[in-house]
Amino acid sequence: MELLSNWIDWTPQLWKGLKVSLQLTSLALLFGLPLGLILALASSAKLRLLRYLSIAMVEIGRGAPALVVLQMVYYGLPSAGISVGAFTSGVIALALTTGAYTSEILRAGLNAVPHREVEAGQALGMTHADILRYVVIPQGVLYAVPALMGFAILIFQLTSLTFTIAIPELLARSYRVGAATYLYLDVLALAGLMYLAVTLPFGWLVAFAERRLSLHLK
Amino acid sequence: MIDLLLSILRGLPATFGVTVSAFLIGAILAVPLVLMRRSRSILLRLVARIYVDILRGIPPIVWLFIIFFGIGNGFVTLSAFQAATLGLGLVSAAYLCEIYRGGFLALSKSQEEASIALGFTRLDTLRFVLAPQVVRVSIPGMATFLVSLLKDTTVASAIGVRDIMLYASQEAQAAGGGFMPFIMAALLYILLSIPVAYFSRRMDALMRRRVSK
Amino acid sequence: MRLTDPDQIVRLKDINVRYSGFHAVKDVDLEIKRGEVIAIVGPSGAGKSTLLRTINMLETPHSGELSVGDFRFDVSKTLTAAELLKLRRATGMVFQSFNLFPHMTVERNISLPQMRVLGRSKAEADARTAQLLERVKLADKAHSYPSRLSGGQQQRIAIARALALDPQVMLFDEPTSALDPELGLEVLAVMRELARDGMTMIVVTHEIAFAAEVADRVIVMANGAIIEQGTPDAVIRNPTSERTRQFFRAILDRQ
Repeated sequence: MELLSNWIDWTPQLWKGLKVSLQLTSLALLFGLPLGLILALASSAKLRLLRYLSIAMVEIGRGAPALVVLQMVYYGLPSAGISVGAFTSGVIALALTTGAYTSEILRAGLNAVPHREVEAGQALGMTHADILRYVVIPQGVLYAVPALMGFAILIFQLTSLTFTIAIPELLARSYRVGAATYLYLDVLALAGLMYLAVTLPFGWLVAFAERRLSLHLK
Repeated sequence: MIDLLLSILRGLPATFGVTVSAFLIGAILAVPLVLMRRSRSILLRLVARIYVDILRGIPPIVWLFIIFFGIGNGFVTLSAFQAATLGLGLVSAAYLCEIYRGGFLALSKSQEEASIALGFTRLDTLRFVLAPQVVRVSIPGMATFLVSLLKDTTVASAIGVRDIMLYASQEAQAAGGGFMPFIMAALLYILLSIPVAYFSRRMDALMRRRVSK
Repeated sequence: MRLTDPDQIVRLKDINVRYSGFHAVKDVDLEIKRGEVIAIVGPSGAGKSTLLRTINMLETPHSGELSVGDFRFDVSKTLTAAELLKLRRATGMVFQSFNLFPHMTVERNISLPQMRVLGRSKAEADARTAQLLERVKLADKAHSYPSRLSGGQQQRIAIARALALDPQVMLFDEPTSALDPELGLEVLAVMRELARDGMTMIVVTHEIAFAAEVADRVIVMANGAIIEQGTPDAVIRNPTSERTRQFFRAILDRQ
């Protein structure tokens, strides 16, 4: 069929775009997850200023649409004198969004660690920092893994938004092919299949991870 | 500053319109979908399952492109607004279907068994026993989803819908860059989401009084 | 500040604990000598655990004075983090639900606090851990995870963990309440040995037989106050207060 042969022709190009999407995803997670952990810890800090500041950042980061954050970083930074490329703007924006969302996921995970273990650490005379480092964080992060994996899928989908700031990811490349051939539907369908090729298996992995974790907790 | 705000506010009707329309389409379409998901027919279950997985597995912006550039260009001509509403409506149906399904799963099986034992038909069981409770249980999930849908409507700007996002973007480009338009846009979206959370709590409390546990 | 009696190791004076209106511990005065074994008994809700947890400040009293070892605290002022750590290093606590760290092996459960709280090296800490595991007869479980052990074994590990920090006072909060009677016996055996070796112990418990046998002094609490205290003989056989009589009668009736 002509459709199939077109698809085969377009695949190398779209594949390059998919690689960019995956790169954006990895970098966003790489920088965003530590940010999320810091915000999660800060939002239960004893120092009121720190607590309010981090909760505000999380609420704004989650309340503002990802596309707004993306365009804000892209159009805003140059006006502040900082010029980074489109790709870096994309990474920054997605990392900020990741940090805001994952801080809630991690906070839930950290809170899931039974309080009686924290009390045991306190009774032993361990400092609060040590209790966090050795007892709460190792277990809390583990509890958060399935939800974090689910979020990773979401971030991968959000990379399609970077089309609007001229990053050559999967959607951008498909659109370019579509504009050249007018076969929009055909090429976008191929792009859709490529997105599915990542999101579906990863989704199954998440379900598997959830089951394993709930067994482990029994 | 005020000029900037007023300029961006021009997008409010479109943002509101797309959000509400897409939500209604999704909320209604999700009903037959969830019934199919729970059906005894393997085929119906499969079709519904495939629909949900595919609609949720492809980014919403891609769906809008498919509908606007792919379909809306050929046999039918769709305006950007129509394409956005349809696309987001179809995606919403997939998410809301899963929310309704969660509602069904949260109900104890004993309710269903009791009513069947009493001799209710499956349809009556659904109508009088299950559905009211599913609706009540689903409301918080639907409210949360509505807020995220509100934020997702920003993708409509990518196909030219004149919403808050588009005007903010235009203002920034006209000024050669800047944070302000986007800060305002972000605040607007946050402000718009507050009534939804409030409304959801009111609805939840209301339904709790009318439908006993 | 020095305590009046150098043999006195714990002193509570005018301790009051309140939770949102509920007065859990009322005007408690208590003095405990080095090497004494105290059993605190009484009906549920009497404030026994709350009182015990005040000694290592897991509960915060509203007023009163607390002295443990060489440290004296006026609890109406908030304690600094450093003061809290000093207090908790002088006391060891064993909880009703053991509270072991599930993601660490038994050895790490006992060694890590030594390394982080006392600054011992891993070699030193592991050596002491091995010693203590011998003492509680669980030397072969050093590399097991808590979830694989029975309740009685976990509680003995918890005791070893607290002992590893060489506390001056050991606090036990209903150590056998979550255990089957058989498993509880192993734990009580370890506690008996500890008492014989001269450790100062304060035990909140429902095990009246154990209290009668091992305790130097029995304290009866009801409604947040101490209503009777004395030698086990005096308190259990010849209580002076009617409430105490009522309490012991109910226990004897159940057996």
